[in-house]
Amino acid sequence: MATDDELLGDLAAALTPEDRTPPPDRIAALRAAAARRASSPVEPTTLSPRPRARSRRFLAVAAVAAAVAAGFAVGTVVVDDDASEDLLADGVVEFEATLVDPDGAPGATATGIRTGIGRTVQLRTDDLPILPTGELYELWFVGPGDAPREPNRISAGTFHPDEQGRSHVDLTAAVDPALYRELSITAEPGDGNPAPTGPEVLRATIAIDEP
Amino acid sequence: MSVQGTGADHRDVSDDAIRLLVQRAVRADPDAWEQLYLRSYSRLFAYARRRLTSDTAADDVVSETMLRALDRIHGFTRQGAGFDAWLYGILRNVVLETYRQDQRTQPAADLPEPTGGGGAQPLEAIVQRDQRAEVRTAFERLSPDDREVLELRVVAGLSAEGVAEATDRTAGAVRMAQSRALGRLRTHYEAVSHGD
Repeated sequence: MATDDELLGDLAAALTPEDRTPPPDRIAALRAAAARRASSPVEPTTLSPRPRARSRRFLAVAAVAAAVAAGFAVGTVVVDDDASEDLLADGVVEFEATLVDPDGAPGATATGIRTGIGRTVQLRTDDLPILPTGELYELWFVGPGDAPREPNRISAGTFHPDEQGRSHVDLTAAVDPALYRELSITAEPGDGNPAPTGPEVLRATIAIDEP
Repeated sequence: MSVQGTGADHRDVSDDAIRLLVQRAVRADPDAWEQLYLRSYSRLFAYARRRLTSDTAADDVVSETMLRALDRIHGFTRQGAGFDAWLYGILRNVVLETYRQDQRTQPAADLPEPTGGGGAQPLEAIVQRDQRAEVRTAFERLSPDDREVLELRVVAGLSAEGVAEATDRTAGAVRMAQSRALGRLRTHYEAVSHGD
């Protein structure tokens, strides 16, 4: 009969995993997150713990890593590699949020970065449907009491997905997210009306660590 | 009873090297984080893969674990049971969250068999493979708690204090749980060996 140590040795031999290497894109994502952390002493807020959101978090980080590494440009607002790198290096991350659709499914990630000259939202989504010509999406910071008759929201800008349905855009907005704690993306008709008139497609609550 | 993990690749890296890596990780050195990721990946992946349904899900969980570790590295203290125990504590929480949030998740039954012992002769290799298959079958018959304590001790190579930190128990409770789990493993193993 095997001794305890022999049995444990057999168990170790039976269960010890083979050497594996993490996928390169995940290594790149972790490296990018570390580089970002090195340039920003602020603790990032935790994203939604939903499993899908974790994937989104990885994808969001990976998107930045890919943009920095490959320098590709997508979306209606060109994500320039140098500009993104400078933004991450110079800015302070104020929040990260996952925008979800009315059913609760994640649809986009938004990272708010405070820079010396203002605030920028890095919006990343690969899931929004391509709108008919002339229509566009609009990102809003929504404040307390916002209602159709008495809107309390500030536009952060408009965008349109590229041919693959991707929207990787950096939007500049002079909005304090501590005062406007909701993010909303609406599909707007592009009729020149600055007020929100289209349906809301995604929404998120911004979580900011209080000082 | 003495227990030393036997299969963890992390033993290739000395404690001093780990300490230096962690010091660099605290400064958010990307190279240090990559090395920590590479060093820990096989074991973290195996732990997650045993409890989740796909490689992708396990990868997601390990990625999230590393990102959370990056977020929290400033809170890591060397007064605890060490970096590995701390990392497993995070991993365990991420896996538990996944359980709670995805009712479809079931523990995975099939993990690719380790092939270690590459120098064995054919007959020897067959005997070894059969023996390991029996041990694995016996292990799968254990309760989740029994499996976890044995896996963390034997495969992850954590000390009793390390398992205690990772699972939020006392070291004494871990030793007791391990002893009982080993007794049950022996019972199952003997049954499996006799064809039950």
